[in-house]
Amino acid sequence: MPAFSEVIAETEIAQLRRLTNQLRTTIIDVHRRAGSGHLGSSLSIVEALVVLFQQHFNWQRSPDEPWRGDRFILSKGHAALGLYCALSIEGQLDPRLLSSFGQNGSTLEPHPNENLEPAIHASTGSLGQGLSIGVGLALGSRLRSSDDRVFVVIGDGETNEGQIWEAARCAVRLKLSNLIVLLDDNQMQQDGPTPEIMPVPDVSTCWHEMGWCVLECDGHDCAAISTSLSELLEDQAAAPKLLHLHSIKGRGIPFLEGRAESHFPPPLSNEDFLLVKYMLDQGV
Amino acid sequence: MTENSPEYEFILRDLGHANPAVIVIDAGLATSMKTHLFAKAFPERYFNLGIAEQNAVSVASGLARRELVPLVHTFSNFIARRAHDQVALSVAWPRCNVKLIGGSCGVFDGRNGPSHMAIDDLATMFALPGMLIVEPGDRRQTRELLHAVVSHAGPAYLRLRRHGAPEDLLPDLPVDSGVVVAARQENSRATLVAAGSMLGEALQATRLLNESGVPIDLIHVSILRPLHAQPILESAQRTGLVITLENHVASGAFGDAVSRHVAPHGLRHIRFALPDEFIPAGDPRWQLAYCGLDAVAIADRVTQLIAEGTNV
Repeated sequence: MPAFSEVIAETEIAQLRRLTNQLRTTIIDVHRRAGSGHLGSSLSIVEALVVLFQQHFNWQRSPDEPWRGDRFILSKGHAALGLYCALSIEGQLDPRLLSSFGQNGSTLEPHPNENLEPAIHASTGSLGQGLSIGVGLALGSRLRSSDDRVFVVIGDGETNEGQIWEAARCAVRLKLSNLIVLLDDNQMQQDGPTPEIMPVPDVSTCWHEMGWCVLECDGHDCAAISTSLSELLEDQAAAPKLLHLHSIKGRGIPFLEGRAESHFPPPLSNEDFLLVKYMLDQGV
Repeated sequence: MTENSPEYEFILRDLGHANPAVIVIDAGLATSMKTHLFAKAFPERYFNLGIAEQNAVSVASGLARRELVPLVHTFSNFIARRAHDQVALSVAWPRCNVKLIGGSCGVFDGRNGPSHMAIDDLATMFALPGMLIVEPGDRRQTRELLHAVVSHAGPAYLRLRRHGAPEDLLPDLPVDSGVVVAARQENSRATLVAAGSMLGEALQATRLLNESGVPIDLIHVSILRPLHAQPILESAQRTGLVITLENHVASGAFGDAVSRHVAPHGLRHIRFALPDEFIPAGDPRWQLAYCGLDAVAIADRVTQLIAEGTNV
């Protein structure tokens, strides 16, 4: 007979899986209604967002000290569609806004704009800058003697940017143990497979050698992400943390999975959407 | 600032005492930017992030989001050129309270050549919505304006010369709104509007012209954006000729900013600026002469313009 704590853990993981299905379906539906968007990149970070926001991220804010609190930065800003949908499920963004995604003058621009929506903690879109902003936020927390944390999602294509490596070295130099990076390594970028265009092999090894605490896991396995994130956050080393997630671009839509065409695809037909939704609901 | 303006290090250290939110960031040029006294006094608030300007600017953006006031120091070219995207998207777009302190501007630091000598930084900074742009004319203005820049809530660019900034060229004239009327005569034939570091040459040219019987108004502008244009317009409407003088190429910078104010009034406006080329390396006097921007050349060119206007 399993221990009581194991039963609770299994229930939690089942709940996370249910939420990932809900988020994935929402993303595909919003994309379908908007008529365009960066679908593939949004679908590859679904499990990462759900586990992070459900289990670790602290959304609490103090009106008297607006500088306080955890921060989340989607450095691969083109996956904004996924972030908006995740924020709506978390109750941090009005779900009614989702229907305006990508429309003229919408609050929900194709790339996150913090000037328009308070749940967005940093405007991004030009790849490579989000990690440096995260370094500044994490350093700022320490200078203010607070224990707030900063979570940054970067993509494998984004590691082509030199600034990512400037920031990675800087985070180690500053011993930013409150900085947690989630690398969404779906092995793809807009123009095709990253390993064929500009490979960045052994990111985990490189960053570990630089001084990061590094763990790797399946980017679509909620239990593995949950365990890895917990382990990293409990690590007392005076070093920044990297969770290297091996993911699949376009995850959840069989005919787009792992394909460059998933980057900015046309909307799914009604029939395809219903089929994908059915498969997700059935756990296929 | 700097080797010949050793007081910058004291100004910065004093600022650290006055404002505990100030954080100083260097990008591997600390010895040139003279930040070491601040670093010594406030080691917990000083960070040399190495020769990586793009990261430095975006890190400053993160610090500002925790309501700290970061001052990023490096040469202007490495801010305005190399880190322009970071200045635009990490700082200007979200209106972060980041202060960009750029050294090595124009002809006063041309000895290292075009890689180090900023001739186009103002154009890129002027193009960014909401950027405060400041260029002092002497050391006293540097002191006053550094405090003004830090007091301003929002992104700002402080453009400094590296060598030989004079101590106090306009005694008893506070910078206030960033526009100082340095010379005014009822019978002036032209309005010379000097930006930032061109103050010394402009004052000397004005004296030469006066001695030649050619009276002109001289207005010095240290807060280039937003521009307080009223004193310029008042003078220009009296003289009928505006001549802007700047330590920068003509495209997209101070002359354009003044033009937006004087053109609607149909006033004649001529720009004295760096030539449309990457200027050969040399010392300030040589480069000023090369560019036709030393006091004698300015006086000659102004005299000629006034004569042309009379003939028309």
